[in-house]
Amino acid sequence: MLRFILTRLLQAIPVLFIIATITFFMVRFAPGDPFTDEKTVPAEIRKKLEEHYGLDRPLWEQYLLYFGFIAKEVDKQQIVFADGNETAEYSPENNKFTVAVTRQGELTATGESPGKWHVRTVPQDEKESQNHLWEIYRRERSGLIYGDLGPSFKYVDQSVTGLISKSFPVSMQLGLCALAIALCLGLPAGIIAALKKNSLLDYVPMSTAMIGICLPTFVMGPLLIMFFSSGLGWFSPIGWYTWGDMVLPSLTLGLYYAAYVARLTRGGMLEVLNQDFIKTARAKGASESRVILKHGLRGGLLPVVSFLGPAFAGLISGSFVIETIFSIPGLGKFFVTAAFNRDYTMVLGTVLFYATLIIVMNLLVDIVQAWLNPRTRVES
Amino acid sequence: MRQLCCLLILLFLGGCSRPPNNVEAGARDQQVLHLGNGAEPQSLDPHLATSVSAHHIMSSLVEGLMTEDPKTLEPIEGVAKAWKTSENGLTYTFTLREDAMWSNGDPVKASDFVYSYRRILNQELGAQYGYMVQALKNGKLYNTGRKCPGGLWLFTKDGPPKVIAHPEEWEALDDAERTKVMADLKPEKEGVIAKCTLCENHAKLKTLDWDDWDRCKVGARAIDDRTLELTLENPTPYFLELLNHYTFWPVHPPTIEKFGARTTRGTGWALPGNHVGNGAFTLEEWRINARMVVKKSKTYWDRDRVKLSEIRFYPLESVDTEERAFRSRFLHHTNTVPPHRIDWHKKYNPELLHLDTYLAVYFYRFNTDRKPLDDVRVRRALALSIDREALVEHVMRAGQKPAYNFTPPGTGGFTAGPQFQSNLPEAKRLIAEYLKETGQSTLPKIELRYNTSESHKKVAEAIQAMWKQELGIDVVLDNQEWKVFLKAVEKQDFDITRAGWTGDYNDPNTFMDMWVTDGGHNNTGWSNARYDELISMAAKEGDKEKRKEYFREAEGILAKEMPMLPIYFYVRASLRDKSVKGWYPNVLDHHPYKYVYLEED
Repeated sequence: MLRFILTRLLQAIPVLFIIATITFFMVRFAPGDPFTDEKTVPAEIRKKLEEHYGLDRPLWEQYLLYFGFIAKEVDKQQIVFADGNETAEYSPENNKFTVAVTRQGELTATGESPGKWHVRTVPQDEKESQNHLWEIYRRERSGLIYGDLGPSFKYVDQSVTGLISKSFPVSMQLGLCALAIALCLGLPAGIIAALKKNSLLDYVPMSTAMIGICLPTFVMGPLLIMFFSSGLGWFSPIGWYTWGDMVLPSLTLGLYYAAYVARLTRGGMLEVLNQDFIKTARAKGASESRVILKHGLRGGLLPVVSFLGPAFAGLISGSFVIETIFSIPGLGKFFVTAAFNRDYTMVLGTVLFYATLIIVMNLLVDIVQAWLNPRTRVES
Repeated sequence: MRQLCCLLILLFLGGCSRPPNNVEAGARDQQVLHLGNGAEPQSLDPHLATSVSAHHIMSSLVEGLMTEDPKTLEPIEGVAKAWKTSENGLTYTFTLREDAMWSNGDPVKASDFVYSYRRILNQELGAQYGYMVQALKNGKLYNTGRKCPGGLWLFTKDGPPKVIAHPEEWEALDDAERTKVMADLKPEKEGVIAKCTLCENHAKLKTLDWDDWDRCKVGARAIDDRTLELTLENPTPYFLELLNHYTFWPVHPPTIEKFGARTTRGTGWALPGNHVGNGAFTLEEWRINARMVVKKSKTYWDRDRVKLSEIRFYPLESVDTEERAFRSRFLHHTNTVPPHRIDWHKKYNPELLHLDTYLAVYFYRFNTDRKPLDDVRVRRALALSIDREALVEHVMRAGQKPAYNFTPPGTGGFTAGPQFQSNLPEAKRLIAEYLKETGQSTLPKIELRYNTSESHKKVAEAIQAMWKQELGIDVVLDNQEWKVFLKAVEKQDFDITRAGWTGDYNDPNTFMDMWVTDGGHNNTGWSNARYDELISMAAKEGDKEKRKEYFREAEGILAKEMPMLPIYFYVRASLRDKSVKGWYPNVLDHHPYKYVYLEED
């Protein structure tokens, strides 16, 4: 089993790598960039912005930099010699340390210098300049393989990792609540419907479920708000601050999934309950509840489990629609807005995060299915 | 099982008694104002922010030299308690109030302002709106490293180019003096030094760094802790109003330096816990996509006037979500109203719905480099054949005003008045004349491009129908995603394109300087020497009436040449609870929060 899990995780690495590569280039090929704005940025400022975020480099170099295959050059500074001085000093970052360069290009660093400094000549256009212009910089290793997803282009003070780690827990809470609602309502409804096939207990929940599937969340959400919030005043119409705030969004999202779960459970149970081993169990005199909950449910849940794997990944990584309707600070919004803003690093961050979630969830599904279904257990 | 679940939910729901909603609680005693605030701001650093929503929040946190009267927008004292203007209108001397304090207790000093201008103008910071501060003398020189025409620059062997003579100094010299200056420099360098070296070589220029400030002689000087002298490039009659634009607001130098280098982006100094401001409120909480909370400041000089204890800003990009929140009495004020709901509110909520004129114009750009729009007759015919009244009344329906000129009426006291009229026979005649002259039977297909949005689509479809019906011109509609659209406009890759412009400050110049030759936002290929001259004359003119004359003539040129087609002037639609007092409509949609309070009706 351990070997199975390890193999799957190792397989995930090239998959993620390919996803990252494709996303990286796709988002770059879209017209416009993070600084395209209605009010045009002056050319000089745009140049500085591009330099700051490394967008002035050739695309392949940006690609390698993003992954961290090559080191970033930071704290780059041209050295200016005052007339007659043989050395020039440079004190970046509030004079915490000083770097001195001689006219010959020798470098001395004093103070608490983070990392090693390098010096090189800058080629100059003017033929008249026989002397060299020195430039100092520091190499810093960062990038995807070091777990660094970079700064957000849109939110100046935020990093992609920071944004994801702040918004994912919210989406996770919402997803788990919705899932709980989906399972609590969907499973019993499905089981009862399967047992009382073609009775009122089958028709009513199943047609309700059909309506639930057809009724999109952007209709359900506003309806719930109109009723419970504008009307009764029980809950806040927007936000995510108190426990009460979680009710309406979880319900909106949960009911939608409950409908799916109910229909899948019913189908799965019906198929299993007709099989020979159930008859055998009954014939052997097992109690009805044991037949259903022990023998029936195990097989009947298989379709639900394979549906829940990816659905769960989708649920906990946020829903754009629900988050917009209820103004919830979750991850789902970033999937959409990052692309609109051309927030390159944020797009990559969210895509990679989601891909990882899907891979992990699928792995979990496979494990649970193996546990539920003796046949796959034997094969693996 | 299912019954149990239902029961639990019902019990839970029953357990919650109805708490007072935000609007009721706010007016009762809390004095907490809840505001819908549009898009999530990208930063609260006044030098890096670029959005209206950021302005709303920052205006509670920071105060400039000047603030404004909440009703009339007249500049009134802020950090500066008194000011003097020199005779030529170029030098302003401000006396700062003694009790102006940063939220950490430091006094607000004149040098803080100089530091702030130096920071925003420094290219390394990459401030997108830094060009606003170019109004200061030599501000452009420091900001962009160039200033045309002229100036004498020295390209040295081992350093960035240096300013030897400022443009005006250089121009003041006669030929003999110039030769002398050149001779003083080492002759072998003469090849690199020349008048206007800067223009030819500016690509080679290194960024002017922090230390170049004094050499560039930028017109901002702290005479002492309480006296600030600002010198301008041109007499700018609206300078005091400009001082209330956030690019001119101060930052707290020790805080900036505590979190990183002076010109590093994204150091996090403007996040809650780190932020130090000098405004009426202090930053308490910022949860991205959730809310921003500011609390009444204990150090603000005019704190006795501030009645609100707290403001909460909610980033609500979905207008429908915002409207629902308002109707659930969760918000006191909405940033906007869904267009399809305006009629409903007009009917049922007329006392809550506010439709205020706003400093913005909706128009179409023509690509004057493409046939057949390169011909002024075609452009004029297209402009004359639109029924703007019908469009505003039946399509937009929110009280927008039809536009027959470019600058919104009343901008900085200037109203150009209609510069042309809808005139169908004339439009038909112009088209017929053009067709006859070019020997065509019909006009070729023209493409009208807009950014994807329901209301832009409606306007485009209405105009398409008008042109088809009245002039028989086939127009193809094409919508594009926002950034794709902006890129196409920037590259001037369109026939006709939808556009909108919101004034940065309350003066016609913010609209009119758009159409100067090769202006950053011209994007039509249109150029007119007299127009350029008028705009530059207006920039240098101190006399208000004369400036209005220049602008009026410029408007006339626009109407004659029609590089763009004005459609309507925006209105700002919002919903506001009756308990909000001290909130006045004005053209910039600025609402200084220190005057706002909540009181039950």
